[in-house]
Amino acid sequence: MGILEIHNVSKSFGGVRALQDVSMTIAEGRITALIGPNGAGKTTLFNVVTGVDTPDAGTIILGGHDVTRLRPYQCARLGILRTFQRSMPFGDMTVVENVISGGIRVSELGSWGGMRRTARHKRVLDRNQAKAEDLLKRVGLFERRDVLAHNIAYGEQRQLEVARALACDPRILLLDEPVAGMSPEESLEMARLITKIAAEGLTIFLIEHNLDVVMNLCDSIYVMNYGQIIATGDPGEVGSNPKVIEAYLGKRGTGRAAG
Amino acid sequence: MAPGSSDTRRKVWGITALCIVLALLPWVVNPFRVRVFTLTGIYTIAVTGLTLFMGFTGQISLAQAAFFGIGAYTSGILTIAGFPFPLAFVCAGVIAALFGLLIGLPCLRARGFYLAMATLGFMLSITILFKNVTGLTGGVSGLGGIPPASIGPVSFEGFIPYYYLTWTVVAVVLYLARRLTTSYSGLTFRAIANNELAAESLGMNAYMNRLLSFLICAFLAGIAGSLYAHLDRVIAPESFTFEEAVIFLTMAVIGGLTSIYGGLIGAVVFTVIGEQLRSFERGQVIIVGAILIVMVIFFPRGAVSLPRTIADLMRRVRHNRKPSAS
Repeated sequence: MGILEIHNVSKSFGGVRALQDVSMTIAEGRITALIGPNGAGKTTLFNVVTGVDTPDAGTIILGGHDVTRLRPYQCARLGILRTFQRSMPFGDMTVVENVISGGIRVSELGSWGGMRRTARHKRVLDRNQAKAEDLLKRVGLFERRDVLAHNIAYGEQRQLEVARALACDPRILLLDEPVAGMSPEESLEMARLITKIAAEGLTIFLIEHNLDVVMNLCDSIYVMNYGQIIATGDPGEVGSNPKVIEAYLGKRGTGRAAG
Repeated sequence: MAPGSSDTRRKVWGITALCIVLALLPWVVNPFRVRVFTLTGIYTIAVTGLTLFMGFTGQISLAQAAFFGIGAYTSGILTIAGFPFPLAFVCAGVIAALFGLLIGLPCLRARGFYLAMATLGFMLSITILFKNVTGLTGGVSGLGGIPPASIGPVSFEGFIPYYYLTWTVVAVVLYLARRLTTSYSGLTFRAIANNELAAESLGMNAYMNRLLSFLICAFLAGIAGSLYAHLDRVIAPESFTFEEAVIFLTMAVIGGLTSIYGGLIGAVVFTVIGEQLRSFERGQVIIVGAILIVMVIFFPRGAVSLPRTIADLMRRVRHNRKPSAS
């Protein structure tokens, strides 16, 4: 029994069947990867899980609760947090403000309480500020805390997004290509960060193209092609599955998989 | 640390200087001008509301003059019926906010141009309403005989007392707006304006927050309308038309949407320019339009950002000169 269960989910956009009868189980406290060629439906699956898109059929269960038809902010409040393939910082806000804003979900102030500057408001703000600074230290952005988010480097924006999502106390964190477009050093740093937060018990579900990262990082892997799950297993099993080699690793990957 | 504290000190000096100038102003200009500056204060309140909504949610409303009118008529009708001004003033804001809720609930599901169109539709129908609900609003001939504003035994009859009343309200509104923008909800508004999808995926309900800021925007227009009703103590539908909504929008854009002082600066710049251009009559609109175009192209962050933009420009010029000299 996993923390996140996806049962027979299908989604079409016009004539394109982006997801066909997809079922997955994400184990609690583990790192699960979703891989597959471009256009396989990976991001669509993320969008369906986080409420950005509503599936045409199937159910999504988070820790026993049906979250299939919830809106994105409701999914987030239940603990499904995500980052995006193209990083989306709040550009006109400082780095630390970005992370504090992430903590709003757990600030228990509400819209009206959030406007009135009561003692409680100050207490929550102070606590979240401290928490945000801690998180920035963890992702290595503490020195950049007062810089506007659109002025920091691309790799830093990705780290910021992770910190911002962590501020929401996720039960499961979905990372959409966390190291895409990063330099090798930045990728390594991000991989280290992911390992660290997973070691603390957070469930991580990620989409990634960088196979080195996937093979080293993940406990289990799902492979998707044309909107369907074509293989699943631990990195060793998936790496040697002929269907996967054919579909995903292709001509370029054959040598590597054989070796 | 150092630049921060000097920045704060500069701000304190700036605000103090502004307050002194505003306090002394009615004694050095003629009564007609005092009325104009009171009007500037009234506009500041309404435009601050619009700035909060537009700047902090990234949406456009063309209905600000409608809420302004609703506030004006509410306050006028209630005080004529014998209710005290403070009650009428609060009701003006509340009724305007209720209309905001009525129109916002369905319309704020839409965004961008669609929302602008929906607010435009509301604006146009409210003007027609003002003209035709003759029993309540006096129709096209307007609503006259509105009593002067008074709080308890203190009457604010006359341009100078009313000027002070208005600017006190402006100060309170700006203070509260400042507190709002630095509050948790302010952070939420800004996050949503920056990137709605990212904000939603962090648990922020974009629709509810948009609605909330729209209600604040309508409330401020409503109380501004109340002050407007007791300024000349006669109101007519032509003060609450689509053109007026565009003027509010222009002031907000001229002033700058990223700062809560944008509304103040926009209202001041607009009325000062408007006064200077009075002799041009209809040409005034053309010149104001031209200024708007120039502002949007060259200073999209509004007059608030002018000092910084000019400072950046100077720095860049200096930087460019150095390499060519060496």
